[in-house]
Amino acid sequence: MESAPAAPASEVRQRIAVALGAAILVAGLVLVMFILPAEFAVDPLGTGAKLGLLPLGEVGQQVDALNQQASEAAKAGGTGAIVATQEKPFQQESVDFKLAPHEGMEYKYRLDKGEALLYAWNASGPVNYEFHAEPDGAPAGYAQTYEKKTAQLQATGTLTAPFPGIHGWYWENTTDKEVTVTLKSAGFYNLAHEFRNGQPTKNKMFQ
Amino acid sequence: MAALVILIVCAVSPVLEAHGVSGKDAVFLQGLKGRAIVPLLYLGAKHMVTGYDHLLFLVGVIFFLYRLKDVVAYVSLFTLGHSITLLAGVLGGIHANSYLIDAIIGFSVVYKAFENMDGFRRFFGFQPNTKAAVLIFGLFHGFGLATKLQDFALSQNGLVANIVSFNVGVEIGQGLALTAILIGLEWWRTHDAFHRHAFAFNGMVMTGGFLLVGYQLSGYFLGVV
Repeated sequence: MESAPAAPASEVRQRIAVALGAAILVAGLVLVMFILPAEFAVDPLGTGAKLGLLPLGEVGQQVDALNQQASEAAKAGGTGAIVATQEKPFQQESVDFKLAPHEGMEYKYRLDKGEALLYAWNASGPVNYEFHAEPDGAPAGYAQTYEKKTAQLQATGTLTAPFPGIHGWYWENTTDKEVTVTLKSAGFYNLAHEFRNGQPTKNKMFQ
Repeated sequence: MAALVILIVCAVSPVLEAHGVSGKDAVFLQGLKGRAIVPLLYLGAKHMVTGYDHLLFLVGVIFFLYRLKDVVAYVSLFTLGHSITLLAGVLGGIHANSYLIDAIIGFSVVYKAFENMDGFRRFFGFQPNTKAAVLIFGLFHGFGLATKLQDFALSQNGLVANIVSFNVGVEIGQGLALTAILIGLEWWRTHDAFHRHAFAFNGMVMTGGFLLVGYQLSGYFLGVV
């Protein structure tokens, strides 16, 4: 292709080989010395740290990771921040439950998929508890466990219901004395169920 | 001097630009609900004019083409190749990893520079068909274009019109870039320095190609996916 003056074949080959080697070497050095630290926060020769390129790469990787999270959240349906407007009336309550020695009980709120609940409870003595839910339409006795712990005095948090159903706690008094569990919650529930010995004992309507 | 400038551009560009559709354009694309012919034409042209990997390959392709007829023939093959895979990729929903495709595009630059150095005949005693190479690498360049668009959830509404517009825009941008490259080459060829520096220039193009391969493979292995 190139109309170079006639040169011995071996010399031409050598020239091409040198050019090829130099191209790989230069590209490799630029990559390792500058691009890897600046783009990917990888700094095998320490040049990125010396030249101050490394923070560029570190910030870039962080921003990429954050954008990635946000876009995944957006794909899952939303903008990352979860805002769910509600038309149902806002409810809050503070209820006390008395648990006789070694007694267990449940208290659950009816929540639709995506509805949120804010909760905080504390107990006058250590209790075992299971935070769980029964999805609508599931076979009787089926429950999905959110959290399960032994010998606790309190728990606080938020729940966004992953499916429609009843969502709440099983508390078990493991002591020989009566324990009082005080639950405070806020949300958009309109119905709560209390169970003792596995049987519904009380339904509570919210207006 | 021109060669030096190109090398610097090649070396720095990956750092300056993430080589994709840039942020605000991406927001526009995702917000589209129907046909947007002129914006897509513009984005296609912009992508080509600012797409250093495509440009570097084109420089390699036309470097030793002196007759306009040859330039048209080779560029048409490149256009045919990348149009096929751009349309088939997006409309047919064929997904390829953009880092790997871009690494192959970088390799196409290395290949073309090696060919320009007469490396194939000197080392292997034969010259692979140069037109076939341009067509085949054109197919990969088209896949590269497709993956950029596929990163966005494009509305099905008006998709065909939009993709075709983007493709036509790519050709417009290619025409503009080619004109500039040809003017530069023509000017350079009037100087004796052209023949003295041609080999070194292709060495620099090759370096740029290796840099693209390394950059894209790094992204494949180290990038946040």
